[in-house]
Amino acid sequence: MTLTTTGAALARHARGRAPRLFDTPLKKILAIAFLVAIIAIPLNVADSYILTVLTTAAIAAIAATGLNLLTGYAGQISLGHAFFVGAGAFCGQVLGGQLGLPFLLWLPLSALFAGALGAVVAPFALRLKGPYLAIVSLGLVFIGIYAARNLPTLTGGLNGTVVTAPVSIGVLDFAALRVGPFLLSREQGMFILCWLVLAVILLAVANIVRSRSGRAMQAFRDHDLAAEVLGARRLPTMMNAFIVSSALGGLSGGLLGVELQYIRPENFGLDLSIQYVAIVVIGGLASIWGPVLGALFIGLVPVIAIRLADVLPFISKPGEQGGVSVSGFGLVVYGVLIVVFLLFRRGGLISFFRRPGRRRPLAPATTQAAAAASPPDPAPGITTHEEGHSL
Amino acid sequence: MTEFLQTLTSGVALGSLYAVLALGFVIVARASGILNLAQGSFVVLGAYLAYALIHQAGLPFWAGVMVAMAAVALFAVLLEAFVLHRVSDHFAALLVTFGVTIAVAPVITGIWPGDSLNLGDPWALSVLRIGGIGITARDATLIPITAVLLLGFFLFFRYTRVGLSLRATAIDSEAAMAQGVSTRFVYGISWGIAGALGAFGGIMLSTTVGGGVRPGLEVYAFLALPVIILGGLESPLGAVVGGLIIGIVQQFAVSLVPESWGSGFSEVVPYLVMLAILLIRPAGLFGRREVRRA
Repeated sequence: MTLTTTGAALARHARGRAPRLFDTPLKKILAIAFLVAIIAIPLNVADSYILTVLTTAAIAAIAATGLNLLTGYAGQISLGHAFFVGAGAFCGQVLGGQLGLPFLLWLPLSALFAGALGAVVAPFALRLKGPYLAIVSLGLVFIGIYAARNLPTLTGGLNGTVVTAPVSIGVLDFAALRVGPFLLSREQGMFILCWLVLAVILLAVANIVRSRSGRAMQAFRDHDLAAEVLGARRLPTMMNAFIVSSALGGLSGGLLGVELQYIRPENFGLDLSIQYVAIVVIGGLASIWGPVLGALFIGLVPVIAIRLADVLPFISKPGEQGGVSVSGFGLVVYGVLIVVFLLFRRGGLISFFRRPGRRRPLAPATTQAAAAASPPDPAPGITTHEEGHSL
Repeated sequence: MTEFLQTLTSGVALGSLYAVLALGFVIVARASGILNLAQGSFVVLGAYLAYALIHQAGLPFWAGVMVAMAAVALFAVLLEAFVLHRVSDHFAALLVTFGVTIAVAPVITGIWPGDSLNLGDPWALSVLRIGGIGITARDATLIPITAVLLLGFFLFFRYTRVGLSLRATAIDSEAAMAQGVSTRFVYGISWGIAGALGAFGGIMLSTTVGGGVRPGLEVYAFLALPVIILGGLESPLGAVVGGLIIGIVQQFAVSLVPESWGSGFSEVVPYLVMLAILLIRPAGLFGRREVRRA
């Protein structure tokens, strides 16, 4: 009986009535306010340090949105997102800097390149249920750094490379924007560019999530057997999630490269992956705005740590021996917050902004199926041999 | 030939270390189904505690090792009881254990700073010569100790009551509970063993020539992950065989691979072996095929 009701629910969606993009007018207003802020903030904030922190947060949010699609919506943990970000960054410099392609070509191509890498890797990790993706993706980070170090013509090898890829669309050069009589600084231009790209990505992912494929991802996360019975196929669905997630990582990497202006293979190590995991968990898994909130929060941690280094004796200033370094302090904060949020606040920071009474299940059709069809099944974990579960 | 045997011996030594670390992952995975990435923090804690006990408290080397193993085992048991036990699903458990490792490692290296702390092991640089093959005294001690440790582990698993309840819980925790097995106790024991094994692995990792207790040890714990993919996630025998295979392959990569393959190739060998295994035999050498029944 449960199957017929959920089947009907899925069929109804299949006829094209996907969940609405903005289900309340408030959300529409907030989205417009967000767009206004993207232009208004850089024009009114002159402090280049603050702008750089915010721009970096937007870039991190793009990558984290990709990871959130995979981890939050599809329920697969990846510890190797930095690999795809790095691939995008170096690819961006090769295409945009070395070959001199225009911005509108090299950035999408970098994303495609990272997506293609994801497509190559995915079959290794997704054939089995369980923590395989976490392990394989962890290995990818180390393999990626090894590869980047040993391809000096493309990546500059150990020394890394200066990023010279252009950031201009036609006459709009974001490194030196001109608004009427005013010439904007590079920081202001990059802020507008990165946050606009983020806005486009958020819209795209919000649409992916409510598409049939996106709902299939959530169905597999909640109850894979039920999802398969309803006709969704596991491998293609998970491949989709992984490839889109990798491509977004690559896109973010391309922007990160031009923002940093100098990249080395070590920039894309395990620490960066940890940062993305922290962003999605702290911001809020399986929510569109969660990664943005998480990225802003995580972006502030080093800023605060540097301030605190003057006050707290156990944080060492750069170049000082003893005590926790500023980057180490960041890792401690990420680690502790990941644990705390998963234990006490699974919804992440974003859940503080939701009014408790108005919370609805994320994917009504599938969560009902999961709840009704069998006792709650743990999300992906180690199950190489699954037994039991009778429908 | 001697060179071959030489490489083989050091491969076995490295491999037995991987086997110990992998076993730590496997025992927790078997008992509670969690991929315990906090193993990385056990490795770091073990090595630095041993350093503190030997150098700052003045214990003899082996006493320091034993106390450090016991302390880390206690840490692991408490971690399970107060944190992991409250996590309801494997998805969150994996992330929580990962979070523990990232938070613990910088704190520990902040307390005992330094790029390479000498553990003061009794072997130093002495080398034994057996029929033309030079074995470092460390490897010559490490291989039998690990063998005894692993053997003891199997006997414990096979012939003791606690071992039986561990196996029973691994197969079906509800049925085990119905037979009077306390799963809380079983989880605690398995985490404790994992903690002790991780600490031992961390200490031994720190005794390599030119190594020492150093930041980044947790990454070595993650090198045991390819081992458990190779051996099968829940197979103790697989952990041992997989560990030896990866250790030997890695040592041969160090000595045979030409320089044109680039620096650091040997460090990614375990992961490349893992990718190959996932392509050929995804369940691992000793893993069971995934069977799904509705």
